[in-house]
Amino acid sequence: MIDYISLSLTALHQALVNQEVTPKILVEQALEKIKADDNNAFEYICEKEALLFAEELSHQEPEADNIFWGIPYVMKDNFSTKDILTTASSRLLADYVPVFSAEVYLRLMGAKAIMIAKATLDELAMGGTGSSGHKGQTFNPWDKTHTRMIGGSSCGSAASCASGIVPFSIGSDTGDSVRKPASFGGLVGFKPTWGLISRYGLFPFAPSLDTVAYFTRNVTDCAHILNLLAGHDFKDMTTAKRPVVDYVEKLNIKKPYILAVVDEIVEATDDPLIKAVFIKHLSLLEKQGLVIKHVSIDKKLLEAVYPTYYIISSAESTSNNANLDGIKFGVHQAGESYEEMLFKVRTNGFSHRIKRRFVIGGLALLEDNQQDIYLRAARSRRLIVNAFKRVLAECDAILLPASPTIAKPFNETVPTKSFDKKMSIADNHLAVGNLGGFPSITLPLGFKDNLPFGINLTGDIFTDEKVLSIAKAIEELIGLKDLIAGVRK
Amino acid sequence: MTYRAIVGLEIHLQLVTNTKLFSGALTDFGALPNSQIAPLDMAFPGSMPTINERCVKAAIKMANALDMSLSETMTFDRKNYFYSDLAKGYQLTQYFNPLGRDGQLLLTTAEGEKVIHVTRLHLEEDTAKQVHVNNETWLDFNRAGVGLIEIVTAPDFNSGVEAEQFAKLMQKLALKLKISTGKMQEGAMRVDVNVSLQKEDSAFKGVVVEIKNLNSFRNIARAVNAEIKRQKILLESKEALYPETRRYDEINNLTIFMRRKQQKNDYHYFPETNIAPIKLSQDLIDMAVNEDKPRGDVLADYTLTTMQKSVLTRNPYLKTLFIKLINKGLPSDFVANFLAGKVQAALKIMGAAKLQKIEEETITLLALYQAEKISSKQLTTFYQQLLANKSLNDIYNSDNDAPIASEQRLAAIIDEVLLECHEAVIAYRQGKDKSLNYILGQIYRKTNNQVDPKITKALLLKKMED
Repeated sequence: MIDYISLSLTALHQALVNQEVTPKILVEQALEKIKADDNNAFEYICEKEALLFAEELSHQEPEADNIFWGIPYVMKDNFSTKDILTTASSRLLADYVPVFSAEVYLRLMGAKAIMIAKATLDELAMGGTGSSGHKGQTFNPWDKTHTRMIGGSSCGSAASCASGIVPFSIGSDTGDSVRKPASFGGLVGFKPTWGLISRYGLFPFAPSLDTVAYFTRNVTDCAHILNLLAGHDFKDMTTAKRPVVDYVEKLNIKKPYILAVVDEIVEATDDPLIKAVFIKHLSLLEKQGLVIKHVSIDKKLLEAVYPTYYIISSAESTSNNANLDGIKFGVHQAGESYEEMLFKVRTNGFSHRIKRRFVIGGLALLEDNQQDIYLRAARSRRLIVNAFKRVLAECDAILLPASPTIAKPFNETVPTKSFDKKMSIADNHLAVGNLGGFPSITLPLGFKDNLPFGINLTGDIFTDEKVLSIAKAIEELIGLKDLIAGVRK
Repeated sequence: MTYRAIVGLEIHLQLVTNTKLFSGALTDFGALPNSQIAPLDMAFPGSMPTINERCVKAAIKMANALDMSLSETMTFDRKNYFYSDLAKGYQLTQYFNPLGRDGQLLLTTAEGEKVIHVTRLHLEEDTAKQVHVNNETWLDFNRAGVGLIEIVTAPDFNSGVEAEQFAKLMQKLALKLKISTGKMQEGAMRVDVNVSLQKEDSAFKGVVVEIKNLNSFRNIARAVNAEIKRQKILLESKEALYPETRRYDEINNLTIFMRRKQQKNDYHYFPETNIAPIKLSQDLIDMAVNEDKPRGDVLADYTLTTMQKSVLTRNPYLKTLFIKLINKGLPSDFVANFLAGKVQAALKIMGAAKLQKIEEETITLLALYQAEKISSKQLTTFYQQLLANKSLNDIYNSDNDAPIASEQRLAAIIDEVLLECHEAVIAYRQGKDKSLNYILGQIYRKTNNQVDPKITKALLLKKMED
């Protein structure tokens, strides 16, 4: 039997339409792989639900005009799925079964895509290592020694797409939670413009930064998913009321686009190989007719990206997670008073790292501190975004290394107390995409020690179709797509 | 020494709207506990607020009546604190940018007319109701998220009676504007007072004491008077006064200490980013102000069953679609029936975005049915196909069971039926109009509903006259 499930979305659709394979076989193949998975990528396997759905579809004709028909996918476990356990990888929500469904999930269900599993994440989507969920570390499928991270917070979604278990997986991106793991996993990771996809049903971490984002193994699949998910939803007042665009149709528009390279960020990339491969591709792109423009952004602003992101996201997170008291839902702890119950639930329910975030966020919002911390971060956010907007006013998109390193071993990620400014510039610039709400995509650029690293492209808000079509051109030039961990082509 | 009482009011009015301020859940007073809840009211993770325009209009009406200036854009903020009746752990309110500012109202007092300044008016959501049973606290989330407006006056009153009169005036105003029942015993109007005593001809500005949750007009005056008396005694005996929160004990006619205000509550206020700033358009303001009779609901104009009405009210999208279809000239009972049935079922499974995508085609489809171009069975199957991403054009053109177009074939079927229902034909000719429907029914049955009703009827009538 051919390993159909490891095909791309577009290829799988063709196989389904040609009736070479059925949704049921795809689901069975995916389930088999999930059961054999040793990367700790899953919270809940929807075996019964998926098989039932596939069975239902087996009585139907494959829908030639619906690319999602019968396709298995994986959903990050911070999307509310009615009647299906949703834990956000937190002890506090270990038994939480939602009563309503996220818009994203409903759209995929309406398109008859089959959710095969809920993927693990950093607890409540806070973290970048894929190690803080209640089930521990999620491993990088490219590294069979199980010492390296796939990155977070969308670690399970990234690992399942990188291992070829599903052709696409849904995640969320608040700082770089999809685009960084995409770099470590040889994947395409896309965070569209804030407000393009409904967040209804996505567990909020920091609503002004949170974006529904996702993984595929090529840019065309990525555009197909945006076609389904983009668009106004009255349940999320922040979704844009813009006419629907066919992102797939616009993929092949080729123009002499101007791409900006922020020299300070490339400069801060320490790894000589990653830097060299990146620079080599700049000249290759120029040969293809694209224009590369080197620009400069004040280092102080770039150094401020991480603290700014951290303060704003932590402040918002304290408030967004104040609903978790174990009284209405979640793991309850008995107590003599409301205060005692709350204290027990939140002390035992959250990991240390989450509590640290809440304390910092709470401090930033105290009336006496707001001016100095929270509002200063808000001003800093505006300055950073304006600096990038000025670049984007003159260029079509910004092109940068997605990460200064390949996937790191877990034992190198112990947080250090000192703040390495140079490292921070290269490691955290993707958060600018969230501060500004920009569309931003990571795609595979190369390999080092048999581990992938990526390149990132970021455009101005609501230029998603342009970003995708440039990404498509870059993908063709680099020639790395449909990568699956352990399967070298 | 003579003292001058300085009194200010904070009034909460619970808004009479069919649904809550942000969640879309119903708001019937006296419904079974925890029966009127949407995911947001319980703060289920991922639920998000949407604004109820009726609440905004109500607030605009009151702000207008109080002669206030309206903010240009409407924004909301989070007031963060932990309490068992506050599901989200924060209350959505308008802290930084209240909807109305700097208003006034003329109050007729014993000493003549007096201008009362109204500092601010803002929208916010109510908390859940706590019911204490023996040693337990029960929570009823029906009230959680109901729209409130809070009105804060300047300290312009000098007696308990004035404060009471103003509160009565506010109730009257709320009733006149039909925005709140103002019933204090039901908690639809809640009053807090701030009381301080100033010494005449002295720099002493007094110490502000707040008395919370006064539950009747009479108690407003009595509580203020009791507090004035308490403060006077303390001041005269040169004892210290502290800023504090107190409550009123009706039986002993005393105010009772609750907590000191020294430790300022810190609510970590910050803007709610799930609600983008909304421009208050002149249209909306005009609409609110000129709405002399508040129609509880746009649906009130149509004759609908309770079930249909509740379906439309609970699903904002269906309600919008309903209005659109009505405006296209389709009859309300037919539209409501279709929306409450097929469309609601699809909405539950596929979500509103999907339905919006096929909205234009849905409207066309219903118009086709109304024009008797398609049968009811086709209406159903075509709609299912629309939901399955087929275009109406394709469906219509490729329909295997397309209406039996050939008049010749139809005529043959009619002849057949006429022979079979000979008795009905005679009855019809004798003036029994109902028989015609019977015969039509037979034709529909024979053709499996696949005939154009209009053409069939015309043809049948022609044949019966022959």
